[in-house]
Amino acid sequence: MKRESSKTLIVGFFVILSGVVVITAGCKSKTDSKQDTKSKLSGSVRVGGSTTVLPIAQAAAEQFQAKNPDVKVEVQGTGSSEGIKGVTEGTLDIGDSSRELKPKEKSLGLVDHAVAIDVIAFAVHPSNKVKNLTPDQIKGILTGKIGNWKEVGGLDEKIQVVGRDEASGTREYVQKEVIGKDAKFVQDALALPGTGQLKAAVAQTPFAFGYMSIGQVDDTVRAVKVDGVAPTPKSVESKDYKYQRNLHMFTKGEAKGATKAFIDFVLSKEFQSGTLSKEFYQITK
Amino acid sequence: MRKMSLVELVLFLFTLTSLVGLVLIFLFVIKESLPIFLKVGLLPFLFGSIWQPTAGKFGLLPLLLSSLILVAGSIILAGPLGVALAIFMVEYAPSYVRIGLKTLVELLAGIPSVVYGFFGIIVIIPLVRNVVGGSGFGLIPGILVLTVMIIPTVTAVAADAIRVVPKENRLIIFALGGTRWQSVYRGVLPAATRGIFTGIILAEGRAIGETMAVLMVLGNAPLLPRTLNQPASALPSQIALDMAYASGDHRTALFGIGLLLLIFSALFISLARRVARSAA
Repeated sequence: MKRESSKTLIVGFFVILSGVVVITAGCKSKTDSKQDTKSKLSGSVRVGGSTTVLPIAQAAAEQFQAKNPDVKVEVQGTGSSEGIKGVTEGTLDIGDSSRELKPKEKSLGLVDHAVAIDVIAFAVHPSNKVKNLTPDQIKGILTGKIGNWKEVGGLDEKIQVVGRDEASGTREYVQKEVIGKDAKFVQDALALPGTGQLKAAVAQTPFAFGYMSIGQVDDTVRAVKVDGVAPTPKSVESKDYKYQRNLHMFTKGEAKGATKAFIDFVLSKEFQSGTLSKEFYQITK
Repeated sequence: MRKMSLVELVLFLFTLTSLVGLVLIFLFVIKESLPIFLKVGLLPFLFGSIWQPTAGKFGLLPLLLSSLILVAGSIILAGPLGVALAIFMVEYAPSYVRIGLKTLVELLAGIPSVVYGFFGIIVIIPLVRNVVGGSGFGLIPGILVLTVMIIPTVTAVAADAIRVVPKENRLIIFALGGTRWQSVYRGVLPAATRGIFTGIILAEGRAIGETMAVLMVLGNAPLLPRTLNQPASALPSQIALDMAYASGDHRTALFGIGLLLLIFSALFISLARRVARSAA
């Protein structure tokens, strides 16, 4: 009886194994035949990286897949550095980044596709009396030289800096362009793992100060003016509001096939002046 | 040698796989973390007071202290609560309440930690902000979230320990005219002490390795803890936060933290074993 049951086990095992082989073989031949028909786009595109670029990639993926049902677009948001790492190592087809390549990343053979202009806003709680800051004051607050709102014309309250973790391209931008490469963020700055969490923290904390993409700014937080200039479409276009940067999608070598089609779609007039312009600034006019 | 049956063979292979996996994990973590110990040195790495990996400063003390405070704080809260819950479940509650509570505790143990993190962000952090001020992120919500997370572990193990205390222990006290509480306090708890402490130590093991929930409420600023109401960063959450982009020495330093956590787990488990085995 015992022998019998183990025999059944072995037979069952081989039945399952052969089933798996047949199925995988079937899958393979299926994709092969699909690649032959060039008229219709198919395959999969793996997109990942910056959480700032994430909403763009997600919206584009939805619309792109609606048009090309045979293409599967997978989107993740992990941070710019991980996006660049992923596309370099081949785990991603497109690496999203909200920062430029670092010098040592330039030799990796990545091709840059600038997909949008993002504007960095400095946000406070809506109840905060401070409406305007100079670049020096912003730097002072972020590095801890200015620790109290009364030093910049607000109430006598401690400033709580809310920032991102070091994988963030936004943080990288602020480090480089606002406080300077060698300066350090104030020690008790929060380092939150996502841009949504950062906004929520600023929205809930009356004396918080945080930096975020303009796309994130809504009624729950307020962007301060810098040298009297508010971040508006006009001041962004005229570059009077200076904290702006390009958002990127990197590919390893020139984009091909479905990947190229996806990037073309992101850059298309339809997407740029439609969905994208609601939260970001268009790169192609 | 006796011929193994197929089932035995399969089970033996599974056991071997997990064992080999464990050994490989240990070896791998040691191998990956070795460079940082050689470069920075064991003591400066463990007790350096500045953690600024991108500036080349690898001092674990802020993270280590924060982790220990989290474990200590949560066990101080969860220990008495969990044991009290266990006593109530086993000694006092009528059977339908007991079954309800048991289900609830098991459910609490099965909730993914990221959900506890949500709970922390939505409920605990605003509460802390309103009561003690500041941003709300920091050690206090960390301790509170961990407390809720480890109560099930304490309760489950303590309840088992209380349940197996012989009925005579209670009956003797009753026979002497004691109350129910006296039977618990004098008759049951002394006999269940080892089991209860085993549960508490296992809970500590869970608390020190908890990553996601802690990451979401700590604020992740690697400061030396001076008060409870300040942002902080713990050992496991720092790994999760940095792993995405770390390279070079920073990466090996994260493996160093991983090794430290492995050693902590091993210590807690062997301690729990020893307590469970020692004579009362």
